[in-house]
Parts: sequence; structure tokens; C-alpha cells
Amino acid sequence: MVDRDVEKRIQKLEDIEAIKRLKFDYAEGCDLVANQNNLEPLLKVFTEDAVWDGEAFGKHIGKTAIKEFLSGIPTMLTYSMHHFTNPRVVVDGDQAQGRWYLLAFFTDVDDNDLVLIGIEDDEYKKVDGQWLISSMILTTHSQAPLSEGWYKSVTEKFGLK
Amino acid sequence: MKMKYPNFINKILYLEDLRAIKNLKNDYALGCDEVFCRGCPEPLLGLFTPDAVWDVGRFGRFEGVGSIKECLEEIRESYVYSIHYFTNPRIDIQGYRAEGRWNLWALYTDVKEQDLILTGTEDDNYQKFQNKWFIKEMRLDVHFQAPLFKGWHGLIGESL
Repeated sequence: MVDRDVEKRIQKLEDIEAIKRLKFDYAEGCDLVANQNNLEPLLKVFTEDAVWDGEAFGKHIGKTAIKEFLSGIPTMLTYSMHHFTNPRVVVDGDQAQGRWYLLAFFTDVDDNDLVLIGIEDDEYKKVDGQWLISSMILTTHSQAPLSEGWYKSVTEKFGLK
Repeated sequence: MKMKYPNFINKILYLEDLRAIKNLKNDYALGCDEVFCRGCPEPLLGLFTPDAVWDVGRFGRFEGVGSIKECLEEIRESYVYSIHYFTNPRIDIQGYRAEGRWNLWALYTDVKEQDLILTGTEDDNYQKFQNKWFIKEMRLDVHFQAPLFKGWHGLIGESL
């Protein structure tokens, strides 16, 4: 019989790994929306009442509103690839928070290649033994055509005033 | 418990230490970006041992937190933005000491509004003190720091 403290420590390590996997499923889900017009894998990662706050992409509350927003993505983008790095996941029982660095590449319907640089702050909930995203807030540092670089946006946000 | 399952506890501790060191590196990335984006060195400085060595290759070698702080305070004179992406962690732990090797790609904007890409590796030494991991030594090996619109051919570092 493993004592309660040890069980909790193992549980926390397993939860962190499960949440990292959830985020990578989220990334793949995002890419399937743009690349294959397939919304279902992405919708599976959210709680029913999830908040998806994509800054310039709008704030969408609840799975129905998120689905409605996602259904419009293929009319804007023909390609996406989301790279998430630097995971900072903190677990507290059945709730957790995560912060990730994001670099994403897009092609829009006008054949512009775009680079998105930003940070995502997430909240997660464990529902029936499964971790789900209950909130995602994107902080965009830059989203600009590859040919323009990121200096305009970051200078405005972080440059000396 | 510890008497009965010593190896089992050590395995858990190893995984916890691994997690803590990876988090330390992610905090290091956030700390670097606070310096470049906001001129705020405190979060980064809190991650080093007092006698830490911060060797950033062509950008200089700094011993001790005081010396590192002086360098960090000058960064905003040259840069307005950075984001440091760390990948490919290779971490070896021996008790209260550990070594880590990471791949880095970082994006910068300098005060002349020039966008730059840097890639390289970072070799770290970590030390656990009062149940918390700190960076004791970091050595950056720059492969290139290149303007976005010029590319990196012809700029690959001497170490390669």
C-alpha cells in the first residue's frame, strides 16, 4: 500500500504530463481546423463553458460560440501550424494553470504567409478524470506577414515611450 | 515508507527534480524577456546562485549576480523586444547538482527596429539549495544571430 502523500506526488506528475498532452492536442486541433476544415478534434479539448479569448480573433464564451467562430476560420486561413514551447504548468487538485510560448505560421486566403508570436495563459479543469481547457487567453506580440517581420507590433507594445 | 521503498521514492524525486529544472528554464526564458521587453532584471536575477557565471558567448562573460545585473541593465539600450523559445531539454541530475543542455531559438527587435533571429545551445549547471533549484552556470553557444531579412548563411558561429 502506497501512502497518501506519495500517491499525491505521482498524481501531480501524471497530471502535468496529461495537461501538456492536452495542449499539444489543442495545437493539432487548431491546425486541423485551418488545414482540413475539421472542427471536432479541437472542440473535444474544451469544457462546455470554456472561454477562448484570442484577442484580435475575439472572445468566445461556451463551446457553441467557440464552434461558431471556428467554422469561419477556413474562410480566412488555408494553412496553420502551431508550435508551443516553454510549458509552465501548475496543478492544484482538479484545477490547473499553464503558460506557453507560441510561434505559429499561417497562410491566409490571399496567399500571404503570416507569423504569429505570442503567449497563451490557460486554465484547465479535470472533468470525469479527464483534463480539459476551461479558459485560454492569447497575448499576441505580433501577427504580421513574414515579409514585414515583427518590429512594428513589438515596438508599439514594448518600445520606449 | 522511506525505509521500505527507497528506490521508489528516489524515482519520484528524480521526476520532480526534472520538472522543477524545466520550470526553472522556462522562468529563465520569461525573465530574459522581461529584461528585453521591459527593462526589468529582478525576475531573472532571482534564478541565479549568488556566485553564478553567465557566459553569453560573444556578448560577454559575467561572474556573480552583481556583475550579471550590470549587463542586464544595459540591454534595453540596444533592444526593445525578445522572445526566447527553449526546446530539446537534455537534463542529468546527480543529487543536489544537475546539468542541462537546451536548444534555443530567439526572436529580437533592436532599437533600430531591425528584427533578428538567434539560434544556439545553452549548457547549464544547476544547484539545489533549500529544496529549490538555481542556475549556477550558463554558457550560450551562439550558432547565429542574423537579421530576419538577410538569413544566416555566412554567419554560422566559429564553434561549429
